[in-house]
Amino acid sequence: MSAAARVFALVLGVSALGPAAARAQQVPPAQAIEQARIQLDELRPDSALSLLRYALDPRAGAGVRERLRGFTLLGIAELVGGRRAEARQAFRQALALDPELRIDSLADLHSDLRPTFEAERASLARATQLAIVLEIPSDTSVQVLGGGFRVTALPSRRAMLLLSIARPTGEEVFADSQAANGITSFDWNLRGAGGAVAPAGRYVLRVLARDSVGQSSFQERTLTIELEPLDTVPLPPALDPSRLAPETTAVRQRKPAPLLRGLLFAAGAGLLAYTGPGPSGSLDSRAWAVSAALAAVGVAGYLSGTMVRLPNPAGVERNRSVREQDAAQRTAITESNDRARERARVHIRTTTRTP
Amino acid sequence: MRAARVLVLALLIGAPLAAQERGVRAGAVAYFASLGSASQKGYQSGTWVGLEGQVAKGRLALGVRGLRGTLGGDPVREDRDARQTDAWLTVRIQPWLQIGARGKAVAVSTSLANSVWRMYGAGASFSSAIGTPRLRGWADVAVYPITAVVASQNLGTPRSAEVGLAYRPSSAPVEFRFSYLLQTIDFKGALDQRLGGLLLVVRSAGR
Repeated sequence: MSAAARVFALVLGVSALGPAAARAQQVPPAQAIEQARIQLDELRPDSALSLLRYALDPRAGAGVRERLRGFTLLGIAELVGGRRAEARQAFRQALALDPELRIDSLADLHSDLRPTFEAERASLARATQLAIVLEIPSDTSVQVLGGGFRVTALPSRRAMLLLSIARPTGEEVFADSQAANGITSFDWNLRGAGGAVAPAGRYVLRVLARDSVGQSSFQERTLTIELEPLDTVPLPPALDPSRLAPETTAVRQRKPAPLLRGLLFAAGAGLLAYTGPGPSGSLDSRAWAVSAALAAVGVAGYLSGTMVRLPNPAGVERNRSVREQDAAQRTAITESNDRARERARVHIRTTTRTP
Repeated sequence: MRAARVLVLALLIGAPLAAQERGVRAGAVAYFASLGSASQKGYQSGTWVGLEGQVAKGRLALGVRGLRGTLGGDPVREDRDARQTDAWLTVRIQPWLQIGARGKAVAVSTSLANSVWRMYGAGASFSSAIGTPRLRGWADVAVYPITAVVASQNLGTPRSAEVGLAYRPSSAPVEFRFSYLLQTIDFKGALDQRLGGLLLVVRSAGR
């Protein structure tokens, strides 16, 4: 007697004796399933059915993989036996365990296997809509520098998840996608495409799931981002020129040259007075008038002098000190503000989006 | 009064000209002239008015001045009508020195005769700022060794000298000149005439 025949006989025997006897015999479900596969190859569907019912009995303790294979073979056995409804029921149970199950390697066992199986898959997909469960903190505070906002999504079956965060106007600030077959997380660093922190305001978070058969589903939330107040200090106004000392000193310089030139021209006009055509040979007083004007302008030019600006080293030094103090104060404030910004946080509230 | 009217008219003419191209100067002139002689008693005076213009390019300047007026007031001499035309071509040697050729024509008319003296020579001008760039003093001297006379005695060597003050206000492109101009005309017959007086010029402040 072959090993298969022994297993088969044993299974039949323990089945007849009851579950307690089967458990006592300790026939592994995997072994029974493999024997059922052989029975199908040998076109003995009824034998295969007996082995599979034994293996799929909850008391047999079959694992998920064994149950998956067991229900698949059970459906094939029912199909070979001409019981199409029972076959589809078995396929449905297999697909419930793995919606992506493929039966390509078993297609030779029955000509209607593939269409029957796919029809059941489609029927099941129609019956069970793709769904997403989002897990998003409803009210949280996130540090801008190095922090992130986590969105967790769980599709009801394997699907491609597309996450987008956009302004209500449609301007997208963040997008990501992942193939998901369970809990999947997205992390947003609070920054837009340009790298800048997203400004405060309302955003629309949307998670779209699309499965392999084209079904899709989405969830939307409204994110309200508020910048938490920063403890920063405003920079002081630009240095007031009134705080600066004059860096030059205006000095009036009197040089004798204008006086000498004026007097020289005045002397020339005076000479003309002696030779001018005065009445009856007297001096021509008009030349004296010109002479006096030239002399007066020369004296005035000397007295008014010229204003020249001379460097004022004390003022320059004082201003340098004032400017350095101002620069140091600005640097300290800027550094303090930078540190405050590094600690900055944003407050994010999540609400269900209403159209 | 006549002089004042002419001066106002000249200002009205000179102001528009003042706005012209920098190389061109134009202005109005009033000469309060007196004619006397060191060797004779007698004294005539009058007001001459006229225009002057100058074109400058680089260091060169070409100018002309025309004056017309009367001389009178001497009980022993007949009043005269007088015209004077000056022309000059100068080159600037230094900022404070210009030299050049001069030409002068003086026409004196009485009811008895018309005399014309034409003189050609050379001259030099000195100028310098006095205290402020807007106030400049200047002196001009010229001699005229070449002369031509019509209906009068031949001339010796005429000379002229002018010393004065120029002012350019900052508010307008105008220059005011106030000077004393003395012209000495010696006749070979030992009669010397001295024509002198105040010269007021208002002209555009070109280069």
